[in-house]
Amino acid sequence: MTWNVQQAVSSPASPGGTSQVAAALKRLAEVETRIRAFVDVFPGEVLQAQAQRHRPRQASAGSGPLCGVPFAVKDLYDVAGRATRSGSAASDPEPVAADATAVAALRAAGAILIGKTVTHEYAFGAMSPPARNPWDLSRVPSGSSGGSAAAVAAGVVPVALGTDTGGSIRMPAAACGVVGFKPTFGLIGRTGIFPLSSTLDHAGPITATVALAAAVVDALAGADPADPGSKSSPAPGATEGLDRGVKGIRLGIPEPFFFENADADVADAVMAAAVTLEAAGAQLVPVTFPGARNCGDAVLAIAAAEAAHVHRERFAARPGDYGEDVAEALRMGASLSAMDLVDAYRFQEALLSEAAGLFEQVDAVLTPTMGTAPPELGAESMVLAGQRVPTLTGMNAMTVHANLLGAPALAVPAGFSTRRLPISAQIIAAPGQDALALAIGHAYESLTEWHTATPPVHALSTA
Amino acid sequence: MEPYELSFSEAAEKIRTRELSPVELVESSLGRIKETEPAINAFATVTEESALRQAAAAAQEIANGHYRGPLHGIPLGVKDLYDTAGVLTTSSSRVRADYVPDADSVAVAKLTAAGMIVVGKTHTHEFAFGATTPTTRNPWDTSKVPGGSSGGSGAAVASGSVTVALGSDTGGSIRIPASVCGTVGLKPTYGRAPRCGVASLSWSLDHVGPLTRNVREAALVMAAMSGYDRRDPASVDLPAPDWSADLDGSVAGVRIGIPVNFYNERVQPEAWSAAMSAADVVASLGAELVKVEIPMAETIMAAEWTIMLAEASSYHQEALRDTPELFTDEVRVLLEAGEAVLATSYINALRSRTLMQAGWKDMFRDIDVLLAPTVPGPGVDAENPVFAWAADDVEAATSAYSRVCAPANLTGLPAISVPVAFTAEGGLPLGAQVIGKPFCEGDVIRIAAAYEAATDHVGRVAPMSMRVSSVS
Amino acid sequence: MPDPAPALTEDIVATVLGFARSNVDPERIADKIDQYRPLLEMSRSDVFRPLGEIPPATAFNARWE
Repeated sequence: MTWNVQQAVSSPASPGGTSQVAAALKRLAEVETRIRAFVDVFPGEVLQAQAQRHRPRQASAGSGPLCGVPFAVKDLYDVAGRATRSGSAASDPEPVAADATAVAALRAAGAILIGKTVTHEYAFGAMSPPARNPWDLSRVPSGSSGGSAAAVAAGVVPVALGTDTGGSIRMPAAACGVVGFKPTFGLIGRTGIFPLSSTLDHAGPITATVALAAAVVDALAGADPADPGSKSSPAPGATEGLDRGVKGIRLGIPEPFFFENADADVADAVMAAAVTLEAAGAQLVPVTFPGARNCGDAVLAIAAAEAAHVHRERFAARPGDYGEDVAEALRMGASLSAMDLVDAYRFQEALLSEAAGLFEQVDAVLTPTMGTAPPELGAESMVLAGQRVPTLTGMNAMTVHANLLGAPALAVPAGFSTRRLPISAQIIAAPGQDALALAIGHAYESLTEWHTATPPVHALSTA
Repeated sequence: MEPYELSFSEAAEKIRTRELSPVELVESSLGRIKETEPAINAFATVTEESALRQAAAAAQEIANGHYRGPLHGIPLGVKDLYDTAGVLTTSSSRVRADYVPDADSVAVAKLTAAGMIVVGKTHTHEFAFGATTPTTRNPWDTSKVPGGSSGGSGAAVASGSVTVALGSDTGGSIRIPASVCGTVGLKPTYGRAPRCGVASLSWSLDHVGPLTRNVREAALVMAAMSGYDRRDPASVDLPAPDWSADLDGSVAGVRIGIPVNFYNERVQPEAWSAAMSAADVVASLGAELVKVEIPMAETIMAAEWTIMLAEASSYHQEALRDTPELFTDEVRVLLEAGEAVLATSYINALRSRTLMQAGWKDMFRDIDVLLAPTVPGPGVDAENPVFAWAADDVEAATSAYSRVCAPANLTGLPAISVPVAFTAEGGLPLGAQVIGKPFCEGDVIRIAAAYEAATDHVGRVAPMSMRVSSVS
Repeated sequence: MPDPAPALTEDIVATVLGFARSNVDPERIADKIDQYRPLLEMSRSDVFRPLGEIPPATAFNARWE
């Protein structure tokens, strides 16, 4: 635990900002020793100053849904005056000068940044040590945005930012029973976020409710000139369209791959979610998701090669500062042939063409977010659909598709497994249809209580 | 005058007014092919029977009052890289010696729907991976290469056999043979025309377009080949273009960029001065010449070749492993080298391409088009295809030809090559290219058409064909 | 500034061909190394070095946006 986090835990009374911020810091002090979600917590005077600074804008913007709301960011995001450690001893320890575009935008909307959360090293993995899953402290929160999801699930903050290259927002949201949203590629600017794979990286929120996710997307959407992946799309109007309901929505249920590879209790719960939406007016349509089985290999090839490119000088200079799993992935990327990368890019191109056809048949697709429970802390492998696979593959098997497509994908709580661990449903819409994905998720959330369930860490902490 | 000697415009007008039957024109074209083939070998396959059948059908249709437009009844040569239903499509490679596609490529389907008549398949450098087309010779001097990779198309147009032949351009493969054979060659903006059904050399650099005798048919055929097609991931959804107004447009006030670097390096003085004379002609018509510096010139060749090697090896991976001996050794070596390119090198090349694109965008702030030589020199000896710049600087012709063309492939910008001179020694054609802003094909067509009208360099048929016809 | 890439020996070419699961055999590599070398040196060229971190141009779009 870093010194700042220790201080926050040992002196929870530190005042700062709004009463919501004070409550967040109090909660953090209660649960942090168990969930280990934070790498940095800002001292009270920093929070105070932040609240002061943004007060005038709050007034002019009325009191938006994010005014005074405490939030945390994955330690891959730059925060002015703090170091960006990216979960790695290989990272630069010096403080950076400016906020990441998304951090600045969220602050401008009146939200108060209280600290930085644990990421799997350089976002290349889904274990996120040393963070733990608030629903079962012997299990990982998944990742790579594991600290952000654990912090939201444990009730410390209602909003945290994550990044998602193959599912790193949605996997931990699923494992921790909260909402996670990966928007359309290019919708939220990535300047000031350490890249893993610029072709596949997305920034987005992990939140307590779909409405909060919509508010964050509305606040963060917009052109980011320094991010060449940024697109100047019109604002999605997610909050405005949140109550549109699901009447007449054609919801694709992919027949091969997703449900058949999930544990029975997971598949049943997500099917039940489909039935709930059908009862509310959606039309269920059986579909085949193009290339479903091969998306994982393509994502791994692209991410490994692009990461090897980003890290080539740092890794050559100090290979010993990287964890063994990340070092191995970077070596794999460095020895990948261009042909294999070309094959992966071509696969992605072909998938985009085919998916355009899919999204003519249906408005969105519903799948499980994760097929099974997150593994035990420190596990090196896990079992999915009867096969022993690496932990990253086991957790991202159903999330990688939306990264290749650049499509908006929302993870929403959809029940509990027989082991009393959260189950999550994923709603994937066509690129650009962020508001629709959020509206479907909001409709489902309004019809269910899953998102209100609190993990046992609450009880433990108050005992 | 034989019908094949008619310009496209004359032939199209006579067909429209029923003064000329498509059957007469196709017969004349086939006759020309027979006469010239022994000397140049431009065609891999001649589709005489189906061409005559289609010509008769076109004649009937026109007689019945169903004239489809200016492409109706016009003979077409098709590079052997393009799929043609029921017609052998070899890519000039033993790897595809027996390949007969079931369906037409999209370009061929669109052009035949517009009434064009395929008279044969033209030779390509094997799988378009080279700029000399060793199977084929240059109609202006049969000891010289026709350029490539669309060398058969260049030779077929230059010899007078057809006024239009299709090419593909990954590192200059339309513009090089157009320049070396004295024809017009148009490479559109990347994404303008779908490439479905055309064998790929390098997925992110490949473009399809025509080689033609004059500028007008280049504009008409290119427009007919264009349009969104979801099956080509590069395809951009834009309305069908119409550049006919540009064919008679004014160039007054157009700012023409003249490069001060790159395009004048390792380029024969005659090729450079030919391009500059062409610029002066356009300036005399009211255009303004503006000196510009080409950005990131030092990375152009490395980026072009790294991307091309990697993507070509990906496309041919299976054939290279199963039947490497069926490739010519030249192309096999390129594909093997491509297998050894690392993914991180490929990413570097893609990134430098992105930066180059931004640099060109900046450069175009001050200009509307860029004008430069298309090639560093004319057709080289087929027996020894090199450019000897100095005793210790001998450059393979494929490398030299593609070097000057590659920027328009990397940036995806539209480029047209027109004949601008004939060498003092040997009378070999030399071309200049006009490169425009993205999706502004009309600008480069306008410059080319104005130049064509002001000079007599464009539209010539090789003297070889005159010699042959005087004998007959 | 990192060290320049090591000279392209037959061993290095054999290693990277191995990464690609190529079946070009050692005899052919020895025979063709002089033809491979200039091509591969372009792909490993120093001109690419000072590029900084910008994303790759996959799905290349010629439009200036």
